[in-house]
Amino acid sequence: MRSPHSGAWWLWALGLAVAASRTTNPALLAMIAVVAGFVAVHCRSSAPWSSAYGMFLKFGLVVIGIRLVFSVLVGGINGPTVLFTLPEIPLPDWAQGIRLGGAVTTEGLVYALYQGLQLATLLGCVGAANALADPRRLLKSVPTALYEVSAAVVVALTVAPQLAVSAKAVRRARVLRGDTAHGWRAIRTLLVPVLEDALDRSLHLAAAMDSRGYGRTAGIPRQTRLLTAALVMGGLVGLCIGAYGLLDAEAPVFIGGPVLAIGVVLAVAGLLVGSRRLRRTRYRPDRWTVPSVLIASSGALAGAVTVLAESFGDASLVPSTVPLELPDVPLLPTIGVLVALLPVFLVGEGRS
Amino acid sequence: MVVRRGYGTHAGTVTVRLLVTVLLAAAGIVVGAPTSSAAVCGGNGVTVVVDFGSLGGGVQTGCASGDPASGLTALADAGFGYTFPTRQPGFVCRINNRPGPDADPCVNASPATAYWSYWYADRGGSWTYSSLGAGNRDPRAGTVEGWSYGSGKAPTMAPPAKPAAPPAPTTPPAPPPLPPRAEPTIVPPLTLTPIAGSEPTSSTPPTTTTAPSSSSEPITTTGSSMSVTSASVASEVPQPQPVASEQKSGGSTTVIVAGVVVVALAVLAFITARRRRARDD
Repeated sequence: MRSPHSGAWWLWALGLAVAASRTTNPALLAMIAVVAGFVAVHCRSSAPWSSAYGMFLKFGLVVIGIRLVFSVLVGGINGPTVLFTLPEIPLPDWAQGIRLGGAVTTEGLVYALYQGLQLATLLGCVGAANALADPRRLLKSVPTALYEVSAAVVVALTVAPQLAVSAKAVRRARVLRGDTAHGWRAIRTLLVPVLEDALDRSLHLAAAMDSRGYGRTAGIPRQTRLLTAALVMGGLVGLCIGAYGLLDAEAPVFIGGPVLAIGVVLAVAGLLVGSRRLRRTRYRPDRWTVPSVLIASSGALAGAVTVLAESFGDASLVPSTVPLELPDVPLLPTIGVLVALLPVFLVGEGRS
Repeated sequence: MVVRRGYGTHAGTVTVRLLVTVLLAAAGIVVGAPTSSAAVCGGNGVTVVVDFGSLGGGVQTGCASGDPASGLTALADAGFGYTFPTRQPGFVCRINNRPGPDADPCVNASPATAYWSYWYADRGGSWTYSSLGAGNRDPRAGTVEGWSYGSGKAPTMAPPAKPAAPPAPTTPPAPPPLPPRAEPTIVPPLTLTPIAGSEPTSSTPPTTTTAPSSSSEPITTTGSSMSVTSASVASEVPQPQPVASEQKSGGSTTVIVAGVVVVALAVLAFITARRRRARDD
């Protein structure tokens, strides 16, 4: 069986990430995290970058820890139930509203935990996508009009998987030389070589693409180039202003939907104009097979159901912390997230 | 039923206490305000004035004894329960579970036309809009904190002045407030039960101090504002006493089911990861 389209994995993961970004309910977040994790460890290939998930998982745990420590030190949200009181550092008048130390409350800690869990879950979703999708094959599907920025896109998309590959290689080389450092010392000796190696690999890839004609501008009329750039830029600006207008309840109505629509039209026009100018052939192109479509739609369903539940005013998506309440499980989003387990049944173990 | 019974006993004790007050006052014995539930603080402590404004319920007062660390602590110590919006905690969107969920879902910060504004004042002074959040402002002992529902207007009741040292009750003033308090004991709780049912309990039940505010009526000078209090008390005595979370039991089973699913998936993922790592090596 052919492995699924790389874009399908990214759409699947982004759908889960959308679901995670709409909720702070710990039950739903944990569900999203384990679904993403299980699919990642089950469906990942044996390629070197597929160990990226573990890295993201550890990073997520660190994020939760940092969020909790800061909520203890700096405070922020506080409720009536005081757990313990740290000595408070007095601050001058101009720093009013900022607090160092002071009372630590259960409600504040729970709120920080929910927020940290949300960030960690988002990281887990991105980590799963990094482990599952082949970054270089994803690049094949980048629209032609984006070729001018493709080098930047490549560096951005491949740094994390390359980091995992480099970490493995550097550690292996160290072990072969008899260096069996553990813990903090190992991190200190590994950090610089790993970062350097990962960046080098990404830059090599970008250079290779450049030499093969990615983003070339020769032979294209100046007017077409300017038109494409103007259309894409205008489209992006329209998208930004439109999204802002939609999110800001105070903004005039015409700034929201219409500007967003204009932005989309401009951006699509830019992509069409840009893609007309050069032809390319693909060797063994990725196809949107039935499993790929199913994978992408299962993730998108999880996100869509959560957004829908939120628009219907499902209060359990954001459980109250002051006063503290036992979070309820939002039924519809949970079922939607469980549907995102579908790839496990579509893709055999290690076949991705 | 629970609400009504609880409310009935509450009203009963209020009536008894009032009667005792009246009798003692008539007998010429000086009665100090009850200490624990004093509506307006005696000497120290922070007096909290909550103006329910358009929500109906007039102005209620409470006393946070000692020196509370923040405006929110003072509010809670004075016997008012508060709720933060779930997405933007730090604001106060409900005091004593009001406004109800239909008026303000309490997910994002309340609109500028209908929110709880936070004020402070010296005893007998005038209200100042606080430029700090209630969680960050440390009220001085012996001052007054004000909460007013609406579009940011100061509480209608002036900050209560310091009590005159030995209050001399010259006239027996209690009889007027007595009948209106006795009447609504049977009528109104129906409108309030849905709030009590749908809103889970807060950690500090709103034990509002309606009785002493009227028993200390002869002491305070601001007669007009206190009459607002007593008139509103008549319709508002049955504070929504949040019934304990009985319906939460249904929620907790789904939480347990979800927890089991999460743990099972996590274990499955862990086993798969280990097996695959062993095979790869």
